[in-house]
Order: sequence, then structure tokens, then C-alpha cells
Amino acid sequence: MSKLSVSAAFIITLTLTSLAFILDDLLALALLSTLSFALTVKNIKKVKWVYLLLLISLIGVLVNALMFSNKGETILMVFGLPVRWGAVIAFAKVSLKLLLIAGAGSWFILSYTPLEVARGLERELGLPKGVSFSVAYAFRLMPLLARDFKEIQDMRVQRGRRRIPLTPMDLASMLTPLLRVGYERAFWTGVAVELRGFRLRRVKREFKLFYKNGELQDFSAVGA
Amino acid sequence: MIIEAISAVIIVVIALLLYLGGRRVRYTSVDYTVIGLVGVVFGVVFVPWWTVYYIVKAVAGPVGARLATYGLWFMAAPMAAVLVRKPMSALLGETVAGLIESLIPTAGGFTNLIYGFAQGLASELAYAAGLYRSYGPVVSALAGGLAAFPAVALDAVLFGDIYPWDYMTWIILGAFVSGLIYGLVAYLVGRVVRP
Repeated sequence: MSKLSVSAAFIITLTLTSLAFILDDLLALALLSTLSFALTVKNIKKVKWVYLLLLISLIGVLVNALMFSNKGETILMVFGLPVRWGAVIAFAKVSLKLLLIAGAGSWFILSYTPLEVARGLERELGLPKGVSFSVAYAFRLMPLLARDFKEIQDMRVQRGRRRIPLTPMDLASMLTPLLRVGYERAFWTGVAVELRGFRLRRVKREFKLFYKNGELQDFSAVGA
Repeated sequence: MIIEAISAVIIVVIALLLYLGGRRVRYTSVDYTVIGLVGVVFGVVFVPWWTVYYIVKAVAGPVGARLATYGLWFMAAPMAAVLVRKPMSALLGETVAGLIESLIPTAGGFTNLIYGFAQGLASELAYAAGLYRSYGPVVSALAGGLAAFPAVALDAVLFGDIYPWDYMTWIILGAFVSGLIYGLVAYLVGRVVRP
């Protein structure tokens, strides 16, 4: 069974996201957001917290609509506050835009691993190999950084500081050791990759709309 | 409309400056790994920051929220620029962070990439304006501050965050000042990481 290529899926997702910015028509937004949501329904468990975050953000959208777009004919009264037609329209528009964005993004993430994305964008869309390498390296670095971050948090707690950064200076004191360790690691990885001839690496570029069976494989950019 | 126009002008000016200034740039593998590092650190930090933003917004309102939290989303550009110190590093750092945030499942989806690219372009202007000769505290703070314009413009288009003009001025100012502060923090951290 063939599968849609990363580049084609990337373009579709980016187009849907851009449409969320551009479109102002409620019906079109409703159709597209329903479609994007339907694409993720099969694996909704994996992205359930995306929709949970979306629901939380809708509280802010509602407050915003009530504060700044509450104009026109009154539809109902909630705790003595008139809810007007303008607020309902504004809330519906922004909610549908956010649903469209979340649905499109979730569909893309559910379809491919980050390393497949890096490879696909490089080979099919002509993303510079260095940028693709940065993205691949970033994802390889994630578990190491998570471990470093936990250690920094533990050290802060032992020194009587906050575990979670709340002020810019808190943030600076957490980011500094995290980046210091990460920088050393990145520097020597970069040196090693350079010595292994990264600059000479050639990328075979070809645009594909679909992959045939087994054509989509992870790749190791770090080991390339 | 005015914010969108300013953002469009910024993007065109930057594209020109990048074309003129970035022609002779050569990136090494070390630069790419450092950009990857900045991308992953900020890409991961950006995700829970949304929760902080909503909490602050509920307590301090739209202006207070922008003043207290927005700058963090602009930090990747000055951080990458301070660490790599080459033309386009600010744009790359912020864009890669946005791309990574997009690939981690978030409610923002691919808007993170769009925001990251636009903010990175605006930040790049600060360095490009000085012909990439300085990566100091003033330029870094300015790089953080300039990212506020496309961010507020995109918010207006996407979330319908359009307020009366006087209130909008406060919102832009809040995001700009926040960008200045966090840009300076990025410089201070970057100076320690790469002395």
C-alpha cells in the first residue's frame, strides 16, 4: 500500500494552517476543521492532550470574544452579562481556526516520525542538508537534554530554589547549565561529523507524491 | 493594518539585507549542531510556556501576559546568533525551534513554524542593520524586541486579537519590552555558554 510522501503532507499541512490565517468564512472553516479533525480521529488517543490544550485555550478565546467583540443583537444573558451575536461569531471563527490548525498539525505528526520529516524535507523539498541535519540532531538530543534538565531541577531544589522557572533570571539560571553542557556536546559532535566528511555528503533529490511499500525508512543523519 | 504593513516592510528589508549580507556565509557542522541545540532547547521550552502564558493572561490581562511571557518565544533567535555569530543564524535558530515545536504535538501545530520564521526574520534585522559586526547586548535585546511586531500581527490575523488602537499600542509595547528583556537574557546566557 502506498503512502503520501512527507513533502506532499507537509505542503498540505502548511496550506491548511495558512488557510486558518486567511479564511474568514465560517462555513469554509467549519468544513476544513471537521476534515482535519476527522483525519486524526483514528489515532486520537495519541494526540488527546493536544485537543485538551485546545479546549483550555478556548477559555481565553471566549473571554476575548466577550470583551472585545460583544456587539449586535443580544442572544442570551449569562450571569447578568449579555452575550451578543458578534461575540458568538468571533468565538466560533477563532475556535474553528484553532481546531483546523490543531487537526492539521496532529495529522502530520501522527503520520511521520521527526527523522522521516527531516529526510523527506531534505530530499524532496530541497531543504539545505545542514538545516535538515540540525533538525535530526535536535531530535537525537532530546532524551539527553531531558536527563540534563531533570538533574538541573534536582540541583536547584537541593539549593532551595524553585523547580519550575518563573522569572527571566530563574530561566537564565536553568538555561545556562543546560546550554553549557549541550554546547560542549554539540561542538564535539559537529567536529566529529565534519571529520567524517559531512560537507562532502551528496543528497539525492527527487520529489515524490507517494511512497511505495517499505520506501519510507528512518535515517541517521548524525551517523551519515 | 498598520502592524501588518510594518511587518511586511520589515520582512522585505530583511530579505534584501540577507541577500546582500549572507552571500559569503559558510556554515560548518559545528554551527548546525549548535543551531540544533538551540532549536531543541527552545522548541521544548516553548511548549509548556503556553500554559504559563494563559495563567498570566488570566491574572494580568493581555498586556501583562505579553510583557511577562512573550519574550521567551523570541529568545531562540538572539541565542542562536550569540552562539553562532554568523549571518542568518538568528533566522535559522528561531525557525528550527519553531519547526521542532511544530513536530512535537501541540495545539499550535504548524503555526509555530510560521511564527518562528516571521519572528526569526524580524530578529535578523537587528543584526543585519549593523552589517553583522556586533552580537552584543544592545543588538541582542533589539533582536528580541523586533520579533514582537510579526508576533502581534500574526496574533491579530489568527486569533482576532484586535483591540482599540490605544490598547493595541500597549500590547505592542508590552511584547516589544518583553522581547528586549528576554533578548538581553539570551545574550547573558549565551556569553556564559560561549565565552
